[in-house]
Amino acid sequence: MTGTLSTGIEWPAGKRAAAIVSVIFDDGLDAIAKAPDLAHRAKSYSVWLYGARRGVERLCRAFEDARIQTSWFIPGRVVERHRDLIGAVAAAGHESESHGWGFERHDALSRAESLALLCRSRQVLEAATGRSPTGFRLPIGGWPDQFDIVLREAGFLWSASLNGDDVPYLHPSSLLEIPVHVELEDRPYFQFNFTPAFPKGQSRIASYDGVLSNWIAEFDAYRKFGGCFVLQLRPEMTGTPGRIGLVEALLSHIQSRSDVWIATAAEIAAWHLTHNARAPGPDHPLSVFASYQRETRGER
Amino acid sequence: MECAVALAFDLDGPTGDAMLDGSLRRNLRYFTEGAYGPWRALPRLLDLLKAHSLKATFFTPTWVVQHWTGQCERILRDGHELAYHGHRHEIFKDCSLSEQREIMGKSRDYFASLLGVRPLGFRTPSGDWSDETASMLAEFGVIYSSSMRGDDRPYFHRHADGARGLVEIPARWDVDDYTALAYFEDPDFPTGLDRISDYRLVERNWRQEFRGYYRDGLCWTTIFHPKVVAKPGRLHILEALFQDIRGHENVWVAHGAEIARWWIAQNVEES
Repeated sequence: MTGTLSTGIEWPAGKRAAAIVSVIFDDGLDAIAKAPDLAHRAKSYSVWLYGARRGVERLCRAFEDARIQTSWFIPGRVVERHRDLIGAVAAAGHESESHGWGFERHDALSRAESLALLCRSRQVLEAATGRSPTGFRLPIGGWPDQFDIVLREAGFLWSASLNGDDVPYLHPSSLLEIPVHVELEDRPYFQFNFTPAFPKGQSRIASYDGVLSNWIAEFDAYRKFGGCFVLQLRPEMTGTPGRIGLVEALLSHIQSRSDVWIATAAEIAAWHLTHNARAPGPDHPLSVFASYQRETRGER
Repeated sequence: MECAVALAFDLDGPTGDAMLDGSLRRNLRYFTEGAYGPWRALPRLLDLLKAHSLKATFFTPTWVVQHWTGQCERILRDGHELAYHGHRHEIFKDCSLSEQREIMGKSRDYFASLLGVRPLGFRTPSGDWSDETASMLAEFGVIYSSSMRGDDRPYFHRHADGARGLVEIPARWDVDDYTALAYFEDPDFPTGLDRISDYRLVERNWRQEFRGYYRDGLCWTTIFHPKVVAKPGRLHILEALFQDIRGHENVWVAHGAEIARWWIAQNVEES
């Protein structure tokens, strides 16, 4: 069966939908970008440093048990800090992709500065893993105008940064976008620190059972509608003794559906660039954004 | 009939505060999160409504009508109602009366020229309206609003001179999907970044809401947003809710306008 469900996307023979398991390994850079004094608060900072110490290994063990290959997004500075660990992740068969250099805001950089940092992040990843990364995830801040062209210039083929759809789509430069959704991330459910407060309302930590149930509901629906499910885990948040069971249960559920293509983001990008490379129509979110920018040129 | 149900969805797309203050121009991530509604979520939602033979009202900023005209045509073709919700989801309380008139005039013209309709309903976009809004809306042929929170059945707004004004079909936060499910980090919603709820519990809450209105014979309406509640895994919540509604006898599922007209007919004004 060639999957052509309501999304109009063609998946490989026998598959009606796709699932990517991704890991965002920021080693605390994400938190420091929001609360710079964390670097001098050893107790609080250690909440995020737990990932490198224990979480990465535990997630990798779960992936190995499930025999699943995953896509990791890592900032260049974290690669420099944890070269051996990242080399080991790659040696276990996982793909490492760029999460920028050091949590810079590309919308505050010149095009040349962006390009330099993007190239540098590719180089350190290649040096640490022996594989040249093909994909990028925007770490923080806005997506600058024509950033797809800058990413292409830096050698990237795809991005997993925006929203707007349940299946991959093309930017004008033919950079492929694999859209991501916040409800498939662990951070909104689990991140917690008292001072500085993460999240700022110090919300209760979500029920693990409820999160698993939500993720399974999403996965089942992506399967039904022929979408591309992108799970986004963080070693410091779900690579823990209490939550790894939730990851294992989800992976086991995903793997029980043989008509879903479980692949890395790079594999899915390569498939789409060959089989589904169509320019988005006029009512696609990217096209409407372009009209919005034209209409409001000159406003504030 | 035991109870009235005016299923209602706010088809906001990317309109709202960030479009009004211009920050959306530099936030493609947030834009695509909003555009997901009319682009990807709405068609699935319309399929689901059709499968349950349910009709609904879509409160739609006309900026969305302008950019997703085909999707809005399908809303009408499927037998649903379109109603006013600002042009770019303006906060009416922050607009002068003449600005409010300008927005309504623009919306009326877009509805007429792009879709050939003249809406009868209005739901105030984000936040409050001003003291003059309800009376101003009548100038544009609006007969009802679904903006207030303080009742569980329709009632009449009153003009300054005490005369009868718009029908109000009040909704409540209890059945607003933002309170349970919406989440975004930049800009942050909810402000304290509370957790996304367990979908199963949301389903139970909403079904209990419907059942309470049914038991007491009231008029139930919802504040749902396709970009929030018609994401793939959440459609299941609506499916269960729709089955529950369909599983009850004598439920009048109607457009807001039908309920408003009925309410007017039932309550002939004594002069």
